[in-house]
Amino acid sequence: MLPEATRYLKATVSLFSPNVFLNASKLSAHGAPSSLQTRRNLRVSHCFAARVPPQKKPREKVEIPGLEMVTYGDRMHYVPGLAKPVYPPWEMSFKDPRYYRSPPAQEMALYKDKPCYVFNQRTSILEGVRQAAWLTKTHVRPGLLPHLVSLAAKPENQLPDQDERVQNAIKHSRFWDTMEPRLRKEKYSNTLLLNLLHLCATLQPTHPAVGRRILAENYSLAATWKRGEDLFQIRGRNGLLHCSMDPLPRICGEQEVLETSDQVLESFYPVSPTIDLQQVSVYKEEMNCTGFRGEYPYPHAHTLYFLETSDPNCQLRPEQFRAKMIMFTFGNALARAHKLYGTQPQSLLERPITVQAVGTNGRIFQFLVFQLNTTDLSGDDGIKNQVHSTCQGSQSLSTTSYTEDGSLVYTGSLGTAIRGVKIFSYSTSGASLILMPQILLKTGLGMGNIALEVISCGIIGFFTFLTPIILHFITKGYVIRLYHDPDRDTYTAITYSVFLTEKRCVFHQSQVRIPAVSKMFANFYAGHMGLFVNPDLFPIPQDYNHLMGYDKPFSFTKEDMDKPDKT
Amino acid sequence: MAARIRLPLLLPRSFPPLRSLKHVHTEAVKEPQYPPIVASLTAKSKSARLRQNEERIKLISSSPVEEKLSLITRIQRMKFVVYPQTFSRNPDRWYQHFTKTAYIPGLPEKFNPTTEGSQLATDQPAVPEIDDAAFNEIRDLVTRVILHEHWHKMRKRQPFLYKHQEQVVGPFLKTLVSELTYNLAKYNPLLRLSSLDLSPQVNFYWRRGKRIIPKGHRRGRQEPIRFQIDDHPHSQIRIPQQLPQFAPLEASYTAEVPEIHLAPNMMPLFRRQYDNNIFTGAKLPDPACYGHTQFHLVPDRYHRDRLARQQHSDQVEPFLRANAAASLFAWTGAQAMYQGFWDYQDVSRPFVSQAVITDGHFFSFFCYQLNTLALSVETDANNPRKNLLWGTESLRLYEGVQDGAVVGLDDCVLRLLVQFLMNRPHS
Repeated sequence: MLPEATRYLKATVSLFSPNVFLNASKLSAHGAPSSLQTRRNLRVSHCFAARVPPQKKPREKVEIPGLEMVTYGDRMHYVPGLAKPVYPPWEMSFKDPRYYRSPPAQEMALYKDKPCYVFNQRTSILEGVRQAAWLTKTHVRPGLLPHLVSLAAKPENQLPDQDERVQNAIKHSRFWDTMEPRLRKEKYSNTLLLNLLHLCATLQPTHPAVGRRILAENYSLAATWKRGEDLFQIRGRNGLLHCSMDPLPRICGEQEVLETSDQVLESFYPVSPTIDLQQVSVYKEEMNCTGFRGEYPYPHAHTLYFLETSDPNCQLRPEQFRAKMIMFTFGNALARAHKLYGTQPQSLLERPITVQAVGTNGRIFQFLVFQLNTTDLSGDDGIKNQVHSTCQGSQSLSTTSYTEDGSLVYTGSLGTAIRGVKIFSYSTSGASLILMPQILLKTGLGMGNIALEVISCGIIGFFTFLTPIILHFITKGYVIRLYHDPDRDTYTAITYSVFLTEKRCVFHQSQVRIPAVSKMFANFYAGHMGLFVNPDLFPIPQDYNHLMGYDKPFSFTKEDMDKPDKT
Repeated sequence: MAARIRLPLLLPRSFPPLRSLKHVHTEAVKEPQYPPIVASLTAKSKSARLRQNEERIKLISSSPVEEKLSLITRIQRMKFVVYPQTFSRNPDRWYQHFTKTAYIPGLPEKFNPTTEGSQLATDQPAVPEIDDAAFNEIRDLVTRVILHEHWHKMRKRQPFLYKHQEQVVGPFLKTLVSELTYNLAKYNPLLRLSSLDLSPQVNFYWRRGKRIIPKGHRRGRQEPIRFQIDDHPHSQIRIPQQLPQFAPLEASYTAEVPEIHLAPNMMPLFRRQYDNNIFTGAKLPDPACYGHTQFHLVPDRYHRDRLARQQHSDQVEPFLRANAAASLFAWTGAQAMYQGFWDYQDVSRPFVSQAVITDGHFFSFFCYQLNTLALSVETDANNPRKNLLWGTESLRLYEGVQDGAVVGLDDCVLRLLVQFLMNRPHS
């Protein structure tokens, strides 16, 4: 009797325990078939770990229009058999900010049926720079223009003891800034950027134009434009902005601007261009704000500075970071264009607006220059905006090792192991070759039967000769080091030959062929030679993508897939 | 015995056989024949403890700077944590006592217009290198900076409770400091080589005074009182050369330092034990190891409006003075220790730094000269030197911003700010 009673007691306890409801709500929230899989919460004590009884379906409430329900509301207490009274929801007669419930989106004043796609500082768009270029109707050109780069090479634009001072700035941001043993990335990247900006600003005595700028942080940007049928907005705070009294000169001449109308925007069909953008139905139309009001003495945007955020929820990869740079630069230019020329779309601005941007993560710096030529962004054709950026080869302050073959992009981790194994194998084979005849002669084992002798020598010889051959066959394709020459787009792969010397194989990127059926010891074929690389060991993943040709544009159309050079 | 006493008087003094024996030790012996007799090093005695201390002092004095710092700050013990910005009442007198600082109202003669020149027109700029046109440019720049932060920049909502100073005045001060520094770099070449730190850390550890341990197994013994300052100024300018002194070392002998006979606990001040740090804002290898100017922001908690609401308006100035004394003592002390000076090797030249403490509207200017680091009981016994702090009352820079224009910009305050940034060694 007693054990049964305790069992019933436990069951009832578990029924009324809060954990039961927790379990039930957890299961139903996940949308899994909760009734079939009743989970046991084994983390709690045994009285709550019993099997949760299956959820009972609540009784269906039948609404018959016109029928007046007899409720126990008048009686002021529950009466079995009468219906539960339904009262209208109570609302406070006064405003209390602690208990304010915002109305649903449909009832808000600014609600619109047509959604707006918003890009903010936390957005990470899937297709990266291509998507940003499509959204802003921009033609992307790699590499900065020579006349910009040559500005820094002129001796009058350089600081005295520039190298030493820049090195001190880096050392200060990485090592000398604090008593803690190791600095966090967001701290040192911020300090490095500010140190370098300080160095550049000390050029003000010789370059008065530097004094006509001010650094603004925590300014809120807003820009709106239409692209096709959709409405897009850029909102948010991106980082630092250098505002200037004078506008930047244009970087591309008028002829080049007109030529952009012939260029086609890169499409990434079937991915929609609005992917990853925040869709809002409550928004203000024609929201254009540079972040400053009134007669601002620094109306033109000179340079934007982007740093990586410390927020773990929105860590942007390099491609997405570059896309964010393009979008916010475009937003700043567009907001100023709307202020100057009005919000009506203009197909060609007489004075294109140029804005620069610098993005960094503390070690690698990315630069881009954006020129806004048109505010008529609804169609895909016509004049486009232009961006010159250091996209592909982003500059790092301290570069990797560079030889005449190009820069080192990959080092195989098993290189020394392979060398060691091969040496061991060769040495044991050599030792056995030398010692075996002497042992056989001395001990006279093989003297008895010629057939036995032949068989034993055959077995020993098999292992002596075949093992190194098989080993070489397996490891001949293992790439020890891979160098890449970006100018000629050639790769130099170093492998070990039969005699453990380094063999170089130079090939062009177009010669890389990926077999349709993956081979065991070769990732890709460079011409006729099979080579093996470990994709995880590339310090910059972009290099692997470029090697294998994964960064070439492609689409799912039949003609594209049948092209012979697309692997 | 009798035989010796009754030496025969007939014996001549210089008896030939005894002559050489007698004159053996009459020549003065210059070289000591024995090693010096010193107290033991390992005995359980007071003299052994004294000898251990001496050996330690010798070891520290002869080490290179980095080792010196680590030897001085190696052992962690309970110490008083001194906060430059504190809620205590009359903290300036306490901090002056802890740091042996004498307060002199007003700024040194360098920054005051000369009394002989008062007959000349009062609007003659006190800084000879900056003429009227340049000063007008600087005034326009400051107006633009004030309007940029308080008028032109659009803010979505008012800053939350007690975040106004951090979110509004902080960025304004940062922009003001950087723009003024770069603008004045053409008149002061030292600023071109300077290093601007934003939200740096400044730490200093020192010992002053003694107490008798009241309870425990070491009861009755003497223990030095240890202090640590962990300061976070808003921004600071560090330079590779030292600023010239404001007053000669000997002038500090007559200065008065307030003596407080209560224990530091009474302030209130609390003890903790953690890493002893000595840090100027950058580590030893940094070439910009001397300090120029620090800028401090008065937080919301100690803003004069809040103190007025609590009827503590008389505490506004002592708070600023205490902040300046503690922060600048820590900074100059750390600079001096980076050069190898410490308790037992006192500074051979004064270390000088400046500070500006502001809450956005009111600016107070302070100059500090560190004349002595020997503050512990043994070294302070016969030390006539005192550290000096000059300071002004808080002066209003501008009244407010109305309709896109700054109202009531005070030129004197601006001039002082410019003079502070123009301070440089005479080359």
